[in-house]
Amino acid sequence: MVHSRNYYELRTMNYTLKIGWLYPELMSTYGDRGNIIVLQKRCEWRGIDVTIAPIDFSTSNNELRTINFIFGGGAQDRQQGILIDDLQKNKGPVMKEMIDNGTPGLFVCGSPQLLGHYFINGAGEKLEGLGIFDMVSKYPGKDEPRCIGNLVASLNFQFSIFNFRKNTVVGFENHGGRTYLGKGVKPFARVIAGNGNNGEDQTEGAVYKNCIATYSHGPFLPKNPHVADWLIRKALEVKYKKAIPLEPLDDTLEWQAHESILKRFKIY
Amino acid sequence: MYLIAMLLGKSISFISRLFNLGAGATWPGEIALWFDPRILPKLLPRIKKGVIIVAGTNGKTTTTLMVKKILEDQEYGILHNESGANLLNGIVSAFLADGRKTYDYAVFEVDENTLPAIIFNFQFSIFNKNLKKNKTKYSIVLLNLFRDQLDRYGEVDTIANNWLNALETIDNNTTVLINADDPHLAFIGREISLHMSSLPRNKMRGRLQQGSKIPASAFAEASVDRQGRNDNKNQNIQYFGIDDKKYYLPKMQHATDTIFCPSCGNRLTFEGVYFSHLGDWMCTKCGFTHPASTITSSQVTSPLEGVYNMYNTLAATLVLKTTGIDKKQIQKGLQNFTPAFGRMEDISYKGKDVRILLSKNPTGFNESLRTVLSSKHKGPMMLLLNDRIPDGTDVSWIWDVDFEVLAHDEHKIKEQDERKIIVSGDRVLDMGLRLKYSIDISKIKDQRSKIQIKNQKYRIIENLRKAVDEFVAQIKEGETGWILATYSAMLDVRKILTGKKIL
Repeated sequence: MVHSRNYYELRTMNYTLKIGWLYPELMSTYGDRGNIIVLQKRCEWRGIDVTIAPIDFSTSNNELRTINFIFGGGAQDRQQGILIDDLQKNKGPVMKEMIDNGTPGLFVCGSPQLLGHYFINGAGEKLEGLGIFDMVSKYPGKDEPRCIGNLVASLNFQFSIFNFRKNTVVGFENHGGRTYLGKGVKPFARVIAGNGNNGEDQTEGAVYKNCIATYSHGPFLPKNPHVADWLIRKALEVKYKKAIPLEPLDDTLEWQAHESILKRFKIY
Repeated sequence: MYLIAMLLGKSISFISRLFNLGAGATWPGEIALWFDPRILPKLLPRIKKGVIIVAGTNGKTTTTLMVKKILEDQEYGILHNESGANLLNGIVSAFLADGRKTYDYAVFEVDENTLPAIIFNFQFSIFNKNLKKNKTKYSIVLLNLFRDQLDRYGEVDTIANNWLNALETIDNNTTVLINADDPHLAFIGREISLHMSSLPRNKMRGRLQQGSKIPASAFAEASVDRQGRNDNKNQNIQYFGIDDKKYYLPKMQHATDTIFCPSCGNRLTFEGVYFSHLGDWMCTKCGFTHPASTITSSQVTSPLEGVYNMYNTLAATLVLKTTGIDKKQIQKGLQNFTPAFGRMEDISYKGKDVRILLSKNPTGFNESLRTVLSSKHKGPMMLLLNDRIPDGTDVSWIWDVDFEVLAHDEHKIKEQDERKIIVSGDRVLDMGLRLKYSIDISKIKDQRSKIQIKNQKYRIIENLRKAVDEFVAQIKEGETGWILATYSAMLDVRKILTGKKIL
């Protein structure tokens, strides 16, 4: 177990991480920033220095390559229209290369739709995605309701985050689109309460290499500290090319908040 | 149908009040609308002088109350809807609950999603000959547009588009009073004025959509044209805004919604922001700029603390001015203004001074925190977060609030004595987590050799009554205890403090 190791190395070695946030001024819909704050604080409490770098129009490809973790939030249609060209032409190919090589990332709310092969929007237009995740998204038509509400799911056991004691994730979903996964990605979790990817096949989110996509929007990581730490571990592992143990934190409050959602659905 | 609707609506309103059922603000209207969906245009001729509509994310209740009180001081007969009953059914209910046959003015606060429906109802009544004859004036105040309850309202852009589509139908009988510091609202103002002027608008639209160079000159042309024709006195679109740089924030807040040009999509340049995305802005690409205000902050004195109350005061003053109320009377009315319940409301409880600030979305909460931190009244703070229908069931928004400012809270109550914070409400744990991640904290190792986050600043108390007791005990002689609460939490805590229900 990594936890039984001495943390001497962690405290003396000056580890650093650079967290990139996709178009923070355009893709930040409803508390998305919570994920960045949680990653930053959980690193800092362990003595890992963090810098937050916006990935936006002025970011060069060389700068983009120095980033160790990619975060994407939700965007309104108008905002998405402003950035989609730059994302597809300039950032997309580099991001694909980085993610293929193991750079971890978290994509919440609407951003997973940009990462798939394509998404068909409310107007029926087919918009090309970045093709990083093997999945497609489409709006089911005006008569189908939006998926809104608390979301509880159990983690996919094929996925290294899985832990028998804490195998649930909780979030809040609010999306009109439905996403269907291909063979190239694993579902992130199985829906217990809520809709997840499409409300049909019980899948929620997707995992590709070290990247997680989820329909939970806004602050997903505060109530899922196990996912936050998995992402930090992966980012360190890829950057320093070795497993680096993380000092445990007192997460009593985080788990109380997590369990309060489970209790609402009488899952405990 | 109209008669049945009126009769039923009125009796329900009466019964509801008789037995104190507490549903009198919306149900009578709901039933009346069911029988006669076009009842509102038929009721509108009862208003003789003017209808004043206040819309926006934050500040509706306070602005409406200011306008209503000052008009009442002039001994006009006023019809108004109850705070929170701001959908179509609430407005129809206001007519049904009031026994009078005619009114001088109606002052309504209107929900963001309902504004278009209300405007279309007015247009319908404008075709009504009676109404045309008595020349009732319409004033529509647009306060601001921020992210609020995404699960219920949808995105800011959607609301703005719906507003624009509805407002493009207005005629010369209607005045629109717009917050010039909100770029999206200023854009709506420009679009309506283009529409009202004789410029071939469809052509303009086409140019806008292609993203070609902007018709800023055309806009100037349009406004000159409009002013020329309307002899300056009949301006249908007027603006208000703050012009005092001392209100500028040192840096941009996180919760902003319109920082990209609503016209061309380029990043706006801000000379300074007052809060959220309200400020002195301009687009360097297409030339869309902050419109000139008819009234600015240097001309008014706000009766309440907080920059957001300055906007409410400006909006109320401008609408009253355009209504023809004397400047001195407006000033006098503002001086004597007492706030609406839960909006900077002072309550005395067990000999302690408590002040309640409704704080229901990121921008509102940021401004409440700013008000508490900069107020001369010091004292502990209580944060209440609920997730019921009136609050919005999604509490994600608390991560858009800059609680980080608490780390720089320099208003220490006494030397070495930090401001105490108590957290409660249905989603107390979410709020506790947000604070845990916002305040710079010292860490210690506990017996399990885990890093423990030590924070003396805030306490989590799940039971609201216990939280209130604990909070009140913290308030020392001469201090004010500040309560920041979401809507239903505000009603709950108010009930505990005053011992009675409001709605």
